[in-house]
Amino acid sequence: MLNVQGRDAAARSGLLDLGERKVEFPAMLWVDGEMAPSESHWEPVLAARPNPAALVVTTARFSDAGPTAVAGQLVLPRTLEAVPAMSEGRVRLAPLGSSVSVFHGAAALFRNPRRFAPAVAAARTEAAYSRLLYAPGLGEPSQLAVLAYAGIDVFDAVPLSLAAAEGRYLTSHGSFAAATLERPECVCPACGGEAPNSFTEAEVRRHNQYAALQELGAVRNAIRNGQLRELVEARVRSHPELTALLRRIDAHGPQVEERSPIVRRSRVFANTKESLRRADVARFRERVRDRYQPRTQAPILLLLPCSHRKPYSRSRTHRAILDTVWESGAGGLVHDVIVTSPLGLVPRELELTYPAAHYDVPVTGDWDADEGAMIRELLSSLLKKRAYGRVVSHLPQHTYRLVADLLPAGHVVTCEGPDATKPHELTRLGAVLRSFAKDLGRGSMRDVLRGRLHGLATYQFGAEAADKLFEGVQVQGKWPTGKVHIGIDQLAMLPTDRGFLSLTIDGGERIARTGKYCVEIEDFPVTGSIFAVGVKGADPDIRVGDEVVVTHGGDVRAVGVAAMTGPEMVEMRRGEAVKVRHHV
Amino acid sequence: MSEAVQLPSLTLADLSQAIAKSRTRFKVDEDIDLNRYVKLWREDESWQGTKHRAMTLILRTRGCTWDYQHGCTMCGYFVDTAHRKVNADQLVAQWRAAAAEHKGESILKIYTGGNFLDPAEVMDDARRTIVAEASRLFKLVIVESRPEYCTPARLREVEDACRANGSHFMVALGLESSSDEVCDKAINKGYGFRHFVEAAKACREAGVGVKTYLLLKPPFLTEEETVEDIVRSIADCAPHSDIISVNPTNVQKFTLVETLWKDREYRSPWLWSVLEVLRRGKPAAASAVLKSDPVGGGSKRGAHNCGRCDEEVLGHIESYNTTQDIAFVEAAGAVECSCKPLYRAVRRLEGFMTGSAWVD
Ligand SMILES: [Zn+2]
Ligand SMILES: [Zn+2]
Repeated sequence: MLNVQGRDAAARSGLLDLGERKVEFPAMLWVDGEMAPSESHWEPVLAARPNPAALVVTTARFSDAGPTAVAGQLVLPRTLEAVPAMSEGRVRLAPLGSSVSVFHGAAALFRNPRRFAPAVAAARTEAAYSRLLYAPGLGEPSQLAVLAYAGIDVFDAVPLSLAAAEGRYLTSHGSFAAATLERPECVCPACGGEAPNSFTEAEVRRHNQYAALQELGAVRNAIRNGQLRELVEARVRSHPELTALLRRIDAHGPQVEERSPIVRRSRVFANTKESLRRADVARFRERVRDRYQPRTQAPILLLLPCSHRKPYSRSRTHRAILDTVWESGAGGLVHDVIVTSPLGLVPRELELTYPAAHYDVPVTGDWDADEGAMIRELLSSLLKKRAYGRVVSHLPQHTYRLVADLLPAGHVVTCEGPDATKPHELTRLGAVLRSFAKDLGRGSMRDVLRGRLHGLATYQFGAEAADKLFEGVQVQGKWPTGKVHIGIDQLAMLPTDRGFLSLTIDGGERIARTGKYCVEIEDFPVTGSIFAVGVKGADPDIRVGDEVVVTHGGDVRAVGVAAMTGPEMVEMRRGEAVKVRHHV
Repeated sequence: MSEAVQLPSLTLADLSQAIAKSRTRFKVDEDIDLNRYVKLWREDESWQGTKHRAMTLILRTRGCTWDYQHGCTMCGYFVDTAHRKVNADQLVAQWRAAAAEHKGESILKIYTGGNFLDPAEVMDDARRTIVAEASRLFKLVIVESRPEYCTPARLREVEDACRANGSHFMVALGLESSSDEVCDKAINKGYGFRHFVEAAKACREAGVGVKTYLLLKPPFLTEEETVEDIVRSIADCAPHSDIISVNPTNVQKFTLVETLWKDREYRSPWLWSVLEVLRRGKPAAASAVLKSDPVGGGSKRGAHNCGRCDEEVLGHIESYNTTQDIAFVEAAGAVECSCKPLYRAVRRLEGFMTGSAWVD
């Protein structure tokens, strides 16, 4: 049985039940008879095969005397079906106990990122949620983060020993010939600050084990803290092949995307070229392009630069701009949209969502070709969705030049230099908006708020469910908060901490009519959290962090936040599926 | 015999199917001249303690009868067969073209990609003609055959024909391993150790010599398993053999082994393993010649080490083959190379893996 505690991308952390003992995953299977670095607690080991046709995983307690194995728990027969060549090019998994699937040929495939990335995605899909994925022969420290990110949960220590036999000293940032290391590199108990060029094979092996254990700890923490992608991007820098692998994994995104939470609090550091392609960032852009609909009536599209501080509206830059808009009298007339990387385009109403409120980029002021193409694509899609009477670019000149040809004839440029917050640029913006307000009237701040909340709902639930939720409603509040209601019945509210609308039971009734974001449960009264065992069906679009409606036979029983993906809560037999906020 | 190796429960159908799949890209050459033999070459061969010149002839026949239905996981010799009937006249024509090339060699080895003693492949008339004429030119005639074709009558016939000309006859039997588990599940050989023993006994009773082939590292065995298996197999087959030849698996085209190799699930054996089985097998094989000619040795498709030490090790193996002096094997084992620790690690760790621990 699995006890999943942390989720990030396709990686999970938690405890695997091995009968008498529980072991932590992501896990490293140590090799029986080899000294492993952990001295004080139980670790999983690959036991010497009592029967050579099988592989056995057991737990052992390590001491200087070597491991003391307890009875074998997981047994894997070696079968021909498991040989990839024999399986029509499909990935074949073999069961190792009831909770682990063995990804055969993983180590061989790993040498070819082009083949490995789709294979690991297929293996992850086939192992589904209720089984961990074990990749035999993989486990070098520098590979652990990216492999965990792709969905591999279990590694083994064989490659650590093979590397030692070749004199390769492994670290989280790469592999080095021990013989060339004249200065201490590491202070692990095997190294003790000594120079590796004097090490025996056994000493190098012991260091490699510590290095893997340390990196495994870093990976587990990164999963718990939602920082795995950042760790991955740092690690893949150590070798072009790992970088290539990450790019291939990103190109096979659906697998990782489904498992990436949609609402979270961790920061996103878009430090590298690869950040542009990370699954949760790519998902944001795809949703802005395909799901999001501007539901505002505001006649003026105002393009703005991003700010370092998030959410944008709390930054000094944006406050200065927003004050100018307000003072010009055009506050009720403007749909403001932020042009940025790696997210491309962030309409104001999405500024509180993940990862819009959470990303940091090293600001250099210019866009590379990929960023430019992505910004242009999203802006074109927005301009196709809605005709704006007026378009104002208050973008720094280098950004403006990137998109100028996409903007309708007659658009107005209010920023002529590189810095949109310079007083003379703001003065020009104010003057232009004031003249528009004279023509168009003042507009309504309430309509702006309604447009924002409704637009956010299209991104969150899809346009159909959002439009159903907003039929004939009133809104109140002041951005970045807001409430949606009909008379005295509240349907939804926007809390600033999640950036997504929270539903009431009444709001849930409206969403449920579209069938979207529903979790169908067995017939039982809801009193607290919904556990996976009680879930009969769920919208496959549900991601961890989504607002969901709990139903039974068409009746809304509760609303709350998904703690699992839709497919996961259907498949799993244990664990919390929905954190219930309100129930009937 | 010994069954220390245990392999997954594969059926003949599983393996035969997998073997057939590996051949899908092979195309039969319809235009081939059936009156021409495939290949002929000359080499040194030691026999009865002295070095001789030997001529090796590959005849083009219809191919191996077993191969038509099943085939073996490592055997790619079918590429040189005709895949259609080759009649007795054509076979004799091939033989006579080769006989014209005879330059005083004393040993003749005839291979067909199948079984010289299979009358469906080499018709009785053709066999009688070839053996009669060959025994006039050569002191020793060696042919290859599966045990089922080694009938007492046929063996007597060929031996009598040879003896009449003062020559000897020897049959090479592909035992591969004395473990039926390995033969059934890793090779798809289709016969077991007892069939080999029966055939070898029949040979000896007829006065025909026995050369036994053993296969070092069939697919699905670890390096450790195959070394132990071959050391055992040498001891098991030695009482029935005049010559024991350990053949390290080489990766032949259109075989299951090649499919696995391309998928990086298979690595040909290390030369260090060849040395170990010769060294450890030698005492039990005292009554027989124990040798190994690694086909494609030193290359990626043949038995190889790291590429730095291969040539030196292969040189020692060759010297051992002709002299039978185990000191050459020991000298080869003492060659210092940085790939030795890796080899030791592979031996130790491959049993913890599901596929090949090390592919280069
Ligand atoms: Zn160390
Ligand atoms: Zn070497």
